[in-house]
Amino acid sequence: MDGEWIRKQPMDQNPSEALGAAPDEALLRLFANGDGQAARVLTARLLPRVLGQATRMLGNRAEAEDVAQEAMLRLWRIAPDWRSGEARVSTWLYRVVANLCTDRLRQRRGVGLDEIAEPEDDRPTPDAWLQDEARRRALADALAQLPERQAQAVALRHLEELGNPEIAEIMDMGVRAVESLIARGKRALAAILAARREELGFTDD
Amino acid sequence: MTDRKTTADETRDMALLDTVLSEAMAEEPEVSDALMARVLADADRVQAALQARDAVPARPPARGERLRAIVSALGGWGAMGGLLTATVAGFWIGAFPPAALDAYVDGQFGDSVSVGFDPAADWIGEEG
Repeated sequence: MDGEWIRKQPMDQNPSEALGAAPDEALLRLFANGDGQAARVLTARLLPRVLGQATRMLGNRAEAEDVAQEAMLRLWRIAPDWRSGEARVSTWLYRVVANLCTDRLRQRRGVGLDEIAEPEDDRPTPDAWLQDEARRRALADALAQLPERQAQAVALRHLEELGNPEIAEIMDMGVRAVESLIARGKRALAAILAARREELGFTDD
Repeated sequence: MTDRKTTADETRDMALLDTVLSEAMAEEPEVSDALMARVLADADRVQAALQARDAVPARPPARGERLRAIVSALGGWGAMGGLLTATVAGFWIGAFPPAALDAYVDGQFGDSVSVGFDPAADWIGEEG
């Protein structure tokens, strides 16, 4: 279908405008064929979401940037072997980022929270920032304690706001299995976080 | 999470989780120029490697490749074996003809004889 898109493009169209409207798969093919602009258009389009997914799941900016770079590198490497119509680039990237994040979270188990690098931040209210930061880290820490598939399913559903059918496609499993993973994952996460209720600034009514 | 937990506790814990998740969900980090540069540098490096790899088959075919093409056109190395045997045998018979073949060749060039491969066959069409 991306080949079809390439053939249909009028010859006199501004190249950057044409690329901006191109499907991800077509841009990936252009990249593999040596087009100099394709990677720039793809990066501008995909990197914000890739970085967002990694940041939300890891709660740490520096680690999220490393994961985002690695995910994009894997995309560049797979470009010549990409088979159009098999999977969407966005689906593939969600899967790669989710896997890279749970790898990181697994390595983080047993590492004290204080040992994780402080992210740079310029928000002006330090108290609110500290609490927000504590909650972000607590969530990532709790995700790290979950079985990887549960952590991925919960993150895709509740941090990326994807529907269960899309999560099922990303995780290559049935929709009902996804529902079950999310339910179990949420119960486990709630129990882990509840144990740190006061520390995270939640007060009983 | 124990059996003693009440429904109210679970509802409260789930509300806490929902708050933490929705706060995290709201996070939309901006892509820094440094990260953009790192990603594009990777892309350029991978693309250059792909171009270099793809450029290899564009050179003219080497001698070995031409020989392989000819052999392939003649039916592969199996057929080449038979062809080679016949060629060597022809050369050998030409250079060192056996005595029986000498006599036969003399006969062929001396007198006019006809040789029937199948004596019963009317292969020259005399009864045409």
